[in-house]
Amino acid sequence: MRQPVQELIERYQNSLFVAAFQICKNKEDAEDIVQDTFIQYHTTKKEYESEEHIRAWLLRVAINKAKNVNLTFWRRNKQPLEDYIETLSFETEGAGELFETVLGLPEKYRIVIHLFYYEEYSVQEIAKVLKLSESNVKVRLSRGRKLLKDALKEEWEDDK
Amino acid sequence: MTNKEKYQQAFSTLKASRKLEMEDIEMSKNVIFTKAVAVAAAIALCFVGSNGICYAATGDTWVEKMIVYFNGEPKEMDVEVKDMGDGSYGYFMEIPEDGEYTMDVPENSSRGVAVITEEVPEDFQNSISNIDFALDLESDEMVVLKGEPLEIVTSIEVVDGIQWFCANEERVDITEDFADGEATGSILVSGKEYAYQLTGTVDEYSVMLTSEE
Repeated sequence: MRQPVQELIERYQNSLFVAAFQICKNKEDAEDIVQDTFIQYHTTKKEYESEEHIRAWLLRVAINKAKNVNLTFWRRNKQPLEDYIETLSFETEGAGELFETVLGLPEKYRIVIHLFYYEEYSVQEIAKVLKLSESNVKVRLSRGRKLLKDALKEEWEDDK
Repeated sequence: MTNKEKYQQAFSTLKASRKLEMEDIEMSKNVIFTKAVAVAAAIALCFVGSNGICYAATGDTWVEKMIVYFNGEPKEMDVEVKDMGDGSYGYFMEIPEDGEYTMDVPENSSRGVAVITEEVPEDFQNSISNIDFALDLESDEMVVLKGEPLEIVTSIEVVDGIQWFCANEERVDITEDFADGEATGSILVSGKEYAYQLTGTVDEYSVMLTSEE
């Protein structure tokens, strides 16, 4: 199955933007990545099993593209992350602290944490999106949570 | 609030602001494809940067000679690198110890030399000068050893009908020369002169850069 790009943009643009931002930590790069991802969907003749399959594919492509952006040096003059964070308005002080703490995590933990807590993916689904083993995802999730707990103390509950 | 709710609250402040229209998607199609090819070319170029011989690269699949380390022991191998079509690159190679075992690493690749080892020795980075990343077979972990920028990134850009071959920040007008699908010449990159050989089309080209050193 395939779905019209315009519908996918309306549904997933923000989700892809946040995932890309998680990796490249730059608004402009993240916006480019989202656009590139939809272009790739549009130009690829791939057939999908379901809408969930499309969503996972889009996320995977956006994540890969964001990683690629981090590996190239052909990057625009970036606005420092700290400056960008200052332009954001958080509902609570704790939300801002959590935001900054997450962005301070190593990338490999950050993206797993993000897919789990933001996209509400299961370990099995994260493994498919990132093409990792489930045990690897569990390890990353566990280490990421521990780092969050160490940094945020009582602001972050112990996950079971 | 649960951790999930806290997390979603914290990241709900991030909003994509660019308005994406189908027209933009259609118009950007060719430009993006060229960019993808450029990344592929850069990977091939940088791999051989040290001996001055550069390989051709296309946007789909190509073969690189890589030094693959098995537990620290180097072995030169032909490695097929494939653009997986999802923003990642796959590395396909036979691992001697396992006979015909073929490894697919659809992870993000950087450039140059692939390293496969069960364990990365502590002094690995110091002992090998041109390693970019390692793969720990036991944990599936890609270990990035170096984060240096790509040496040369190429692209073909079309501006007002003029085709420019770009290498890093330098560019050469190839409009007439490339009309028949081939162009040769030289370009100065970071003070070093490279001879270039281009074949293909603006959207899908191969480039070979060579230097005297």
